[in-house]
Amino acid sequence: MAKLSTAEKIALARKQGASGGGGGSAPAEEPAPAAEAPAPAAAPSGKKLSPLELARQQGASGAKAAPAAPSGKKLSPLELARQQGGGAGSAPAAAADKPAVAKKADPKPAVSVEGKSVQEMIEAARKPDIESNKPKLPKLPKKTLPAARKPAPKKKAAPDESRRGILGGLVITPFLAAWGLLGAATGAFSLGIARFMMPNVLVEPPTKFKIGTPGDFPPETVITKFKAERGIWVVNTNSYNGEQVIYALASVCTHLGCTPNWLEGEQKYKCPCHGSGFYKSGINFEGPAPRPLERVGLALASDGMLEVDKSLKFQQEMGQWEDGASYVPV
Amino acid sequence: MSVGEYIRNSQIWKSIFRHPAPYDRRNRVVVMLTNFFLHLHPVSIKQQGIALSYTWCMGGITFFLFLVEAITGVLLMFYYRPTLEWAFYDIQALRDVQTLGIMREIHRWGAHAMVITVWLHMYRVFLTGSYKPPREFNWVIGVLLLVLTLLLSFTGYLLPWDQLAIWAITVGSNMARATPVLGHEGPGFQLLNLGGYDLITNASDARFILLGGRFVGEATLNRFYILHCVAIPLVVAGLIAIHFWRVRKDGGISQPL
Repeated sequence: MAKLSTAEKIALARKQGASGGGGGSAPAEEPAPAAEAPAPAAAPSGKKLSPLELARQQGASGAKAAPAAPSGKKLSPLELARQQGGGAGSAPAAAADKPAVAKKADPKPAVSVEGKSVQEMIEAARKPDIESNKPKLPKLPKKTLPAARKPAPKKKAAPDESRRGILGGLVITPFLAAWGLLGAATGAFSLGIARFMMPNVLVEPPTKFKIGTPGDFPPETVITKFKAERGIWVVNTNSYNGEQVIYALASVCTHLGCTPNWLEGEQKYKCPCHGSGFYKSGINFEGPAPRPLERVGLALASDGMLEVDKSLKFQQEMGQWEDGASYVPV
Repeated sequence: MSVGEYIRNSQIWKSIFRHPAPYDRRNRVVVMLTNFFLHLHPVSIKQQGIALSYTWCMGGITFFLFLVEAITGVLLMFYYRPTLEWAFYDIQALRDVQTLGIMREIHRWGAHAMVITVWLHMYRVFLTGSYKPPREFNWVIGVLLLVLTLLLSFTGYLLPWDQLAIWAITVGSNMARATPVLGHEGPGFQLLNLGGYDLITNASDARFILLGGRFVGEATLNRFYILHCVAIPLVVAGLIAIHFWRVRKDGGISQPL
């Protein structure tokens, strides 16, 4: 059953009110008067339709919407059949065979048979349909809606209104202020928690440290003794661009961050996690690593010592290895 | 008066069980509704609601595994110290020394199983369309529970403090470097700065907060221990309660239409 909106129910009830009031004993085949009487106040709220009335109404409008819906009343097969007969032709006769189903008879097949959409049915139900229904019955006296019990309250005087405005302000302003304060306090608390989670003291080696004089790093060697503590290799080589330089490589694989090992025999850095390999210079040549190892900052301090600054990093693929802070010429 | 009758008439018994045995239909309802533990289950469910071929009982198995993890986890905490000095050896001692230390293996395998059953539960809910209205909010709760289950797995992975654990967390947490705005290698990290001075560095970004340091160290071990044993389980327990409550309110366990 297509669901009817309140407005449609009212329209149905109006029709019903007009015909039911006019002549309850009229035969079902007789078309109902089309006059639109104003709805009695009670009708929309669920006045039950007798099957007879329903049938009449149905016959008059010819609308195929299943009639039982507004009242939810059971129809006897006879009534159903009459009703169906009253409407235009091709309604399924099966409904008469199954009285029990009549209540929830599905209107969809009927709709599709007639090619009417629910919208069309609603419009049909709303239409006065004057042509086919000649008002044989006297019109109902117009019923008016019961007047409101109380007269409309007089408009209050201006002073009252302004007082109300002040009162509203007195209530709402603190309310908003309270919520605002709560929000602000929550925000501040969250920021405080975020800050709290950042430790001020780290049990980590410092990022700037001295590693020795340039003489401690002979040519074409990779010094691995700082790897475990400081996470760097110190390299003295000319294999990158022919220049003999010392630089410090971060011992962090550029694939996923594992720590590769320097294999002296094969002269390469090899990552145990996924097999990435890097030449002595730090350039990647095998495995999944997408880019060379990173250099960290290296400078000659005033006391002649090499000083590493791990807070600086230099990426070869970005041309940063040309930066003088990334190496010390021998 | 038999002993059973005596017990059932005692004040202790009656103060716990407010109603007599569910001998008829009305009492069955009353007993279910007045007992905290029984009220977790509906008074009645449709026969198809317990059809295993439809639900696979995956949600129930997941909850069972959560209980297994909670109980074995609490017991393991009695023998585990989250410090660089002891973490690895405490785990070894559970295996080699401690009676019933096999609980640790149960905890680990249960965790693997729970991740699998959570996925299967989600898969089943998807296949049966049980995420559709009015259950869409419960789907969202379920997604949160899925993420938290994965985070429980992730944080628990570090606790044995072996090479596998350290490097897995190193690699896993490196993703946090690339967090938009809040990761020091992520897009838009330059947005948060004061007078050209970046607020987001490798010592103040999301990864730093997660690890409690610039790399996986003792602070990380302690943080992951707390997240794993306290913070995430509390949130998960709360969400599970909402998840179950919503199941009941949205038409009960899903079943064939």
